[in-house]
Amino acid sequence: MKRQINPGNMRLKEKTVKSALLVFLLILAFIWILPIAWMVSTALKPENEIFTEEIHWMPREYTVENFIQTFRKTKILIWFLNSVIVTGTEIFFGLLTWSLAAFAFAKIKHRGSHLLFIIILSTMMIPEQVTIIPLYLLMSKLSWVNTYHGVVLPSLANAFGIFLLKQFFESVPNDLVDSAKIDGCGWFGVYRLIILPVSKPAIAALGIFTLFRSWNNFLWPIIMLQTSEMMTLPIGLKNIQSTYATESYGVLMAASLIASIPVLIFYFFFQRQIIRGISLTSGIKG
Amino acid sequence: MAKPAASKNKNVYFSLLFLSPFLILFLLFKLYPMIAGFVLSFTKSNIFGTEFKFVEFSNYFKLFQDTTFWKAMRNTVLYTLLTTPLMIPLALFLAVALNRGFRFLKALRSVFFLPKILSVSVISLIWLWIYQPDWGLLNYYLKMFHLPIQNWLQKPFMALFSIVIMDIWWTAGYQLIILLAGLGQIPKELYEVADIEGANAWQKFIYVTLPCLKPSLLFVFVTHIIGCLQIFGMIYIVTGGGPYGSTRVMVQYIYENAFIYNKMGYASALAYILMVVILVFTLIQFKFLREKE
Repeated sequence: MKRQINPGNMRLKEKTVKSALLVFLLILAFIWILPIAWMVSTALKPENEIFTEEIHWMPREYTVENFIQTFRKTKILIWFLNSVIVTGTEIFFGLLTWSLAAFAFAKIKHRGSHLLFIIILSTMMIPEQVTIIPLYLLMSKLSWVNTYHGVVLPSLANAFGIFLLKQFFESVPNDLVDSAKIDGCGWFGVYRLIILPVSKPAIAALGIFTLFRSWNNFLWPIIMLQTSEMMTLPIGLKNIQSTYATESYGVLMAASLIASIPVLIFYFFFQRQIIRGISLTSGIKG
Repeated sequence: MAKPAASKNKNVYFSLLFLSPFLILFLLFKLYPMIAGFVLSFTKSNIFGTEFKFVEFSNYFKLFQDTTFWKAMRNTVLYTLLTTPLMIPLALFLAVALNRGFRFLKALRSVFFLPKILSVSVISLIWLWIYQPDWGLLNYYLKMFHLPIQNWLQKPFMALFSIVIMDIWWTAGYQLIILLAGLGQIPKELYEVADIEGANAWQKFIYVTLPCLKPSLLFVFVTHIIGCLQIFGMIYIVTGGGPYGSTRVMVQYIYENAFIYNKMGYASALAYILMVVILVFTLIQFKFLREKE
């Protein structure tokens, strides 16, 4: 078969394909933003502009009434604070316990430690739903229902963090560990002065992963957090929805926006780290 | 050279010391509930601990005759089978397209990922408003283009499909980022070789991109399908399982049995069945994607 290749033609064709693709991607990206823009638009509209025959994306009359109503009628600030407390403690204590355990598995090897690691790892396959019922019964015996630690502690028993950190800790050369030990560093010194500083990217990635998981956690908190004062944002918002139902989308959207603004700001500033963190937790290094 | 026995013992001691915070949590909040849940699934018991009676396999027998269980299982599997072929190819397409190196690469990537940072409750409320039959955004535009308007969340199959759309909007960007990272790992030389061989874009995709992307794809598939089988929050907020139980999924049925109907034993049996389904799905994927190597 004879094939004639005309470089100029090829390049032209490639350029057309690329521009068509770009146009398609831009349209899709535009559609992707619409639901969020719609939330902002609705939150800023007075009631009579929300339910109209004709839709205006830009409110004719801007109002903060929905936000005032949200703050007055709901405990959204408390929910926000609860979410921050729960997520913050989970990240801090999670990173601490997981990194300590991962360090032991990666660097202080002895007979039996590999088997223990495999046992712990295998529980990653067990879905949360299997454990929540006995966990709830345990928590009610301990009177830990409707408390922060009741929500946070079980999530620390997750093996994923250890699995992730162990791989990174193992890539730290053993020579470095040995020479530090010869210089009189104990195991804790090795952990704190060598392993932790070297593994900062991995720890940051795990922190971001935990942040997302904890911030969006729904099933366990909705079981555990029963009074309005203790609820986290996802549970509180679900609560507004069941009390207000459909009559006030203005308030629902204002509450959603209030809940989203801090994470949007966070995303804006830490985009690069978040995206790198997600790539890292999926097992791709670099 | 063997290390002295004293130093070895010391290592075991230190290892356990470092492991102890996690091990305590693990025994108390993972291993104990796993075993207790299994035992519970053979009992009839309530939330207050005042009733606890062994009933052997009767929860498991009952489950096979429970039409609501079968419906919840059907909905869960149907949901998984609907989202997977829509979401993952879309994410893959976007990743490959963005990987061609556009000026707007980073901005576009950020836009597609944006929904994922919003809480599950927030996105549920937004879409509840978009799907609203009389004043919602979606029906407004359908009307404008003279297309038939829908009762998105009030018709059985449509309701499930509406959730699928939400989930794609919410999660596709997350998969996009993982796949994009995987694409970045593929050596450029492979494409140069393919160019020399005269491969076209499609051939390069099939013979270079896909095989090299397998680890990332496996990760996306496995986490996606496990996530689908465990879906709860979004559906619970948007439809509450309705209409007529057409969107009630397994996790919701477990939740209702345990914390609303107060049947802890039966709910535990349901949870263990769900676990088996998840394990089977996961093993199939590992096998399927490994064998193709």
